Amino acid sequence: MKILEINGKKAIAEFLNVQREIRLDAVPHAKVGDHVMVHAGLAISLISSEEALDIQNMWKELGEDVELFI
Amino acid sequence: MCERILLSIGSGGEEMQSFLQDVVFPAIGSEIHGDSALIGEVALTIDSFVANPPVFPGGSLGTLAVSGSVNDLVASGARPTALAVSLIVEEGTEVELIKNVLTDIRITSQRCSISVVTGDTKVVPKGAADKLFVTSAGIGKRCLAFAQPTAGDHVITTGDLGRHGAAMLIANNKYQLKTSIESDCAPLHWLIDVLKPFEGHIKWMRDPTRGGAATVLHEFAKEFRLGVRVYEERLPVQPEVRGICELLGLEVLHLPSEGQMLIVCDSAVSEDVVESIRLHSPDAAIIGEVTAEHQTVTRMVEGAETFVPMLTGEMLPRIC
Amino acid sequence: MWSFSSDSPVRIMEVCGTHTHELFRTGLRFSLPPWVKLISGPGCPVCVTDDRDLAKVIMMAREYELTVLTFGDMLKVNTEFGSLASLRSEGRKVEIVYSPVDAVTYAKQHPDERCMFVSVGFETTMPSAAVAVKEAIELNIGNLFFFVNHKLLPPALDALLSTGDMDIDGLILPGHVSAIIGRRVYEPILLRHGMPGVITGFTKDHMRTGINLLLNLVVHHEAKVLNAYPEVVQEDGNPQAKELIEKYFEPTGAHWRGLGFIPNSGAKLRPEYNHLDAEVAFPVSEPMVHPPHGCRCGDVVLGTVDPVDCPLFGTVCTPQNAVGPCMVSSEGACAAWYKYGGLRHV
Repeated sequence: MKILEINGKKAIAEFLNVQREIRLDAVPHAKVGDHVMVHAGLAISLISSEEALDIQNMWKELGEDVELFI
Repeated sequence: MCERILLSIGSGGEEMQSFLQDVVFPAIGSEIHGDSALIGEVALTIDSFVANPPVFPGGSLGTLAVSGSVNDLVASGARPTALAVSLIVEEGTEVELIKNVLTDIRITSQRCSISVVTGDTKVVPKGAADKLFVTSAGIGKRCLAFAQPTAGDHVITTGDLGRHGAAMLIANNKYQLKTSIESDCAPLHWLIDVLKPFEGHIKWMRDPTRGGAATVLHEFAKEFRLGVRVYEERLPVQPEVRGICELLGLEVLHLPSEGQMLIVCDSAVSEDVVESIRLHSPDAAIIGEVTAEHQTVTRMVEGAETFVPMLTGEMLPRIC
Repeated sequence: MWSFSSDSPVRIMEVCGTHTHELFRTGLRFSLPPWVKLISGPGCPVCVTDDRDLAKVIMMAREYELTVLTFGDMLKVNTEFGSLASLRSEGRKVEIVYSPVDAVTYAKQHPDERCMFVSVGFETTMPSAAVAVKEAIELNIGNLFFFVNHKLLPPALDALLSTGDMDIDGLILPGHVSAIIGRRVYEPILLRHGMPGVITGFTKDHMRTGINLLLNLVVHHEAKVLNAYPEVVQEDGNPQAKELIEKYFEPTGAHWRGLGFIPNSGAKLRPEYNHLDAEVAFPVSEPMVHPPHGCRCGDVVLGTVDPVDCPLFGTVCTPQNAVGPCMVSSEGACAAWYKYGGLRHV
């Protein structure tokens, strides 16, 4: 969900035009505009878009003969 | 079967089917199918309406009561002619609420040029009902005959799916979600005239109310011993409705619509039918096809086909 | 290098119930090569909740006239003492909440009711439950008590992998639990058992990537723990979330359906919050429960049998008339198999 406004440890977050109050107790550095993973009303992780790219590096780490099975 | 009625029986899914088979039909001595009955050329339907809250964005118990009965008549190929409405009111309910609901009954029935011809009101002690329950019965004249469905027929929706259910989840504020969607509840009285030119090619209709599109498609598959395959990317669903489903872990095909009809028709005319419907309802679409697969409802998502389960239990958010 | 066939397939376990459900729903399960067999693991909190714990909740609610607040999936699980749904039909209030914090709000708005929040779930839900406890203390809510029955994944995985009859080649590790506990914590456990594992998310693309990575590890016999969900899961998880958990909860032994009693695999409130502990406030005698006759939920949770191997599956036990919790919970393996099962390839 995307954070729209922050009010102390509470925030309004949005997903597909649907808003809900969430808690930020576990992501104290979250800013307005950040995307967070929300579980049972609590943001449990800041979603970083750069790190999705790390997956690419993981393929490399596995070596040359990586196969795609599905 | 339990000894007490559980709320899940009222959700319109599999529990309701077992309840009908195990309790209602044996006790009443006959099997009742479909949302309205044909007695000669006359169609008759009756429905009870409960809603929390009774007035919600996009309508009220009054809009629901008229739309529900009109749409049930239309689903049986009948043109609605008159309604009867009865109220059960809880002691202490604000008169203002009753006025609002009755006004919606008047406005909605005027929209489809029918009138409420008789009615009844009962008041029960505080706590014996939740503010207001409305029952509406309707009669209509049969004017559209259905042909026999076969594999290869197309499945059409008159508009976007699941919006009433989503709007009610927002309106009762149980899960503190906020968005701006309104219920789709509306009468489909115009549909008979739109479909009349295609008579002979129209095979089946049902309004996907309680239990959602999945439930009525399962009923179709069961009744005709056929299957249905819907295509995920063709389903007209508003983003907010998708958002609510994602956040609460709900299946969009289980959410009720109160102003839509699912139609099965010959594939040769399906595009023309959709085009005619779009003059009234721009989101109409062909969402799938009838298959020979025995009594199965499936969905294609990105090339993979999976079952669409019927609703079981109450519609509750999923938390893992 | 490797030889697997549909007769002796690679057996990979998706630990988390949400993965089970999504693998069916997206159809990805049906696009796997025939030499891969998926086994559903113990990661559905409702399914692993022991009957005696739920029976206790029902007894407490009846005896002390409590309003029960909990998550939706708990509602229908049947015990010899009834279910929360049947409790509601008897006239007790049972409210479904989206967030544990909503239970605090409810209790505040209903000061004349004695409320009990039934807090279940893995590490994912624990920080949220901790925030609810914190909020209840800060707002000085006197009528809300917590029945804490959380389960911890790493000790359960260790116990699962230590049972001799487990025939598993790799683990698909849950994305949301890992967002809290991180990747590193799995390493000593999995490596000790020579078991590869991949953490992944829940979209079709996430799951496809995760399974591909895992299969590569399996066929190359590499026992590594990879994080294929780095945008959400950090090496050591979420430190603030872990802090919240540690402040309000402490490990305790727990009964798991299928796995039995595992030391330090559960969590309860710390003793300093005894005044909020429902089990302290509303003592009941330990209920005697017997698992439903013929039900193999325990083995399904262990992954030693498929749901269809249970004699009750699909006949006596269906989602609308569920015998065991694996059929009741929408995350349960039996419910997923029943709803989506037996589908053809396309």
